Amino acid sequence: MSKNIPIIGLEIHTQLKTVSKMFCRCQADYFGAEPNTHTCPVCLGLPGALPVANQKAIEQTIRVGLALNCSIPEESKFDRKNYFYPDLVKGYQISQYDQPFCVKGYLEVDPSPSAELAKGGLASPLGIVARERHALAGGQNPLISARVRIGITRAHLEEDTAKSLHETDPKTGESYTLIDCNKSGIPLLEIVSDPDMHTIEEASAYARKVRQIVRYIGASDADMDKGQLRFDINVSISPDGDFSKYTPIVEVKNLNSFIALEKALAYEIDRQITQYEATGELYTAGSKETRGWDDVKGVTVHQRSKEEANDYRYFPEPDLPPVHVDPAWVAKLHSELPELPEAKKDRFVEQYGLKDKDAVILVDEQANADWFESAVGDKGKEFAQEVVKWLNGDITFVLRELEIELTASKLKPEYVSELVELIRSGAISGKIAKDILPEVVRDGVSPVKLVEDKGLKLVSDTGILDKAVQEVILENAAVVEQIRSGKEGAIMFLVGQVMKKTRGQANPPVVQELLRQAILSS
Amino acid sequence: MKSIVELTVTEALRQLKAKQISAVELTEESLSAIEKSNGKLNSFLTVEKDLALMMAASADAQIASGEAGPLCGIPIGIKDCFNVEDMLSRSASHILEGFHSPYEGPAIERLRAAGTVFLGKTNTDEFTCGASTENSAYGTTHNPWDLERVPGGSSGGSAVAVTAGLSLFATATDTGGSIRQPASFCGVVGLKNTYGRVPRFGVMPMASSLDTVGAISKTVEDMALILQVMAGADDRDSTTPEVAVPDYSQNLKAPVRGLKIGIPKEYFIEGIEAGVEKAVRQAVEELQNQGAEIVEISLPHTKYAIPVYYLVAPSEISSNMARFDGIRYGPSSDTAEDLLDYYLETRGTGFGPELKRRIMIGTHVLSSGYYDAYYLKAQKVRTLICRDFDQAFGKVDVIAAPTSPTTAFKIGEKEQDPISMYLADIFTAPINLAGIPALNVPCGFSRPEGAAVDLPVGIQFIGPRFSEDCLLQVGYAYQQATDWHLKRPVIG
Repeated sequence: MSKNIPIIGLEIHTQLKTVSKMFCRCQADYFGAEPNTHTCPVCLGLPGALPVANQKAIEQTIRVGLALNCSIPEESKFDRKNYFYPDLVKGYQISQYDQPFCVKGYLEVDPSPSAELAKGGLASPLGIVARERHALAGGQNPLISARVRIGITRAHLEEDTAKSLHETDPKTGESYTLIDCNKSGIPLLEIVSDPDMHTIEEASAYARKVRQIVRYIGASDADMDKGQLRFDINVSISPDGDFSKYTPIVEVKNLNSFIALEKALAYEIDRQITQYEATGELYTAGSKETRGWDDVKGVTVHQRSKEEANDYRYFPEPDLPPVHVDPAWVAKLHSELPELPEAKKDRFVEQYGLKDKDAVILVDEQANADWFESAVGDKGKEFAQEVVKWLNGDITFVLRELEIELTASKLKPEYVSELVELIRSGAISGKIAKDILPEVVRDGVSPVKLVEDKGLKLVSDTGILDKAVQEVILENAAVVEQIRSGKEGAIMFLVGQVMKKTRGQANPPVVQELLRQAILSS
Repeated sequence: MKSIVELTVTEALRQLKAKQISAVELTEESLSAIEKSNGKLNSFLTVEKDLALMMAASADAQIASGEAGPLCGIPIGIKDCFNVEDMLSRSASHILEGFHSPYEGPAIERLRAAGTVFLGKTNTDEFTCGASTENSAYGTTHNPWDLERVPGGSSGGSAVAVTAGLSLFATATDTGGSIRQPASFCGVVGLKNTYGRVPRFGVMPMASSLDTVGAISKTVEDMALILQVMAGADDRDSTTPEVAVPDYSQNLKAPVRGLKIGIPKEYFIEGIEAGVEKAVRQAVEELQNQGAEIVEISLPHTKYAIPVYYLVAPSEISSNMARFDGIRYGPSSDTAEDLLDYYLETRGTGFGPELKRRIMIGTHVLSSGYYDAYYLKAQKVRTLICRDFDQAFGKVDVIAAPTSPTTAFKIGEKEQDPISMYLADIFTAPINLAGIPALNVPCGFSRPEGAAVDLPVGIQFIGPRFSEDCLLQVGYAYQQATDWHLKRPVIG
């Protein structure tokens, strides 16, 4: 019985968040701009134009490297990667070959069964769901839940290419390609992992964590809708679990969403297992294939084999001097890194007594975590747990209804703080809090003010409540009898009736006491 | 007034300031000289008559207002590899046919700000790849001393423009000898600057780690004025260090007494033209007479310079030429069936044979499996060549050597023999590999076998990085004592 363990490595490309482009002064934020308006002789590749390295991009690269536990060598340089393509304006990409800014790092990830995979919708054309075909896949496997360390080979800085727009003339049916150079020269960080992942879940968790970290430290927005984060995957299969023997390595390029990443992995793992079972072919030096991902058909397609592969003819970029990275500067950048999600989660568990799973959700986005801390203030563990209950429960629900992110909504942290305070002080019931929440979130009104304006404060005035209590006793003689004969629990039904009469504004413990006195003492 | 053929920049500036001549008159004289001789010489590829007269008029206005820049009103030729905004800038290649550049770099900006008048673009080997100007896509430039002979290259158009009095000076570039060798062949002054002394931004590259920007002029005194304007770091070129620019004219007149001048034995090899060696040795004697100390030195790795140069330069050329794909600018194939076809047709018709040769050599040298054996090894030997010079400059202030082993050769003589053409750079290329400056100064004439007339010989003074002031000082002292630089050809 074969084990068919996948061997997966990831190359993650992320556009860095800088004011100007990598090698010129053009504005880097080109989103929504007219094509070819964020350009200059440098990023258009005019003859005679020269690159000047963006120091901020180098700084961001090193910050990411530090967050990924990389070493930062003192000597680094840029190289030219030569190949022809219409979107590569100079006929070479300025990249880094043998002396990248960041080397030898790692990330620890907690793979959880992918939501997409869990749906079971990733059937290959052969009708076999990939996750069932390899030993370590699937949520049931005990290895899935274990924390894994993924090695990071390197992270290097390069420039993005221009954008190709493939068009077809609707009249003539002729196809043509337009080039938009706004993207040309955007700083691009490439993070290369070791081939340390063996399940789709691990690969997905790793990719998500990298995205989380670059966003956390403000190095990249990593907005996938804007193409700011792209994945290349390297996959092969070890048929018997011996990692020195594996099927020919396949690289699938340019995946631009987590779903595409997971689907492409599932498809490719399945395809390779089937192919191996049919041919028995194993990797020999150079048997590498590049495939593309067809998102519509959900299949990978052959692009080129090793023999057809580009020889990039790397050589040191003569237009840029080598970069000396001062260790003191690196130490300073390290000390200035913000608290990373892992550490923040641990602190939340410790400081606020949160459940691990609640903390994980909270720290997923730094803005949410900050929001939470701002809502809790110095009010302590119990208060924090109440806030989390609201945040991960009803508030999430309301936000989803409104289709808005927490930090983009009108809900201020102090409103949640007020809400919890109102309940704790007995000023309103949990039910009223739930009732007013949508309005608080939608319109951004203070719950204190809302309760005041609408007169929603719980009524504890026994004079006002007496009338409702007397009415309820008269209307429910049978229940009153039951209570008198010892079935005290039935009193809750009567409390409910009083609440109804007072439209929820009565303070339940006070009502209960009034009822008890009225029934048992008469 | 002196004829424009003899007029120096220094003298012209004096006359302009004294209102003895106007910039418009000077420009008109240049334009008429071009009109008269350019048909025979093919020095200028394009002449911007209207622009030149407009710039000249503006220069006159500046002179009148007393706000003239340091070279105000001086008509100049610009080597075609310099981008000049709105001007046809082709680097003498078909692949940039019709390319009116949308920008220019610091070298041109500084010359513009200094008040020079742009006459037009001068001929060069295609993308400056050559030593004869025969590789121009727009025809060979002819040497004014003998129209059957090459002017040298690649800055042949610029050297001829200055020699024949078509412009008072001309911009040029030197990657393996492209300023000094044509200056030597034409009997004019050419300064190859320290790598990074003049920013390269805006100048079309040949080999980025070797390319330097400079000029060709009639006298060393003129060159000091020109360099003063062109030199200095610019933040658009990361390879220009922040080294202070000295006052070159101020330093010019210091005597050479006590200066140590090294004579490298490797530059006086068998096969060197007898008249060349004689003229160079006489020039060294003259400096000795002025009190310089002459020291025999050795630069043992000199013989490796040409092989190293022809590995490093083509590697960088192959990469630098990759951007010429006809997609954003320049002519392109409109018959191609697919992308590969498109590249093959566009580049196949756009580039000339020598450039294709270098692109192929460079592509091969950088290919996986050959990189270590060729490119990497060449870079190691390059370090040894640098060390040769470092060690020499521990003993001497300046090195003196012939600029070229021969005088100007005949047009077509080496066309079929690229190796012998490459050897034309034998005394100049090592200096580019080391990134140090060298100044060619005319030092006499020689009549090689079969020549009908005497042909100019040049001596080069080589110094450590950023020693241009010292080289100019030596060249000036030599020109004060000799009159080789005053000789002008009669254009046949």
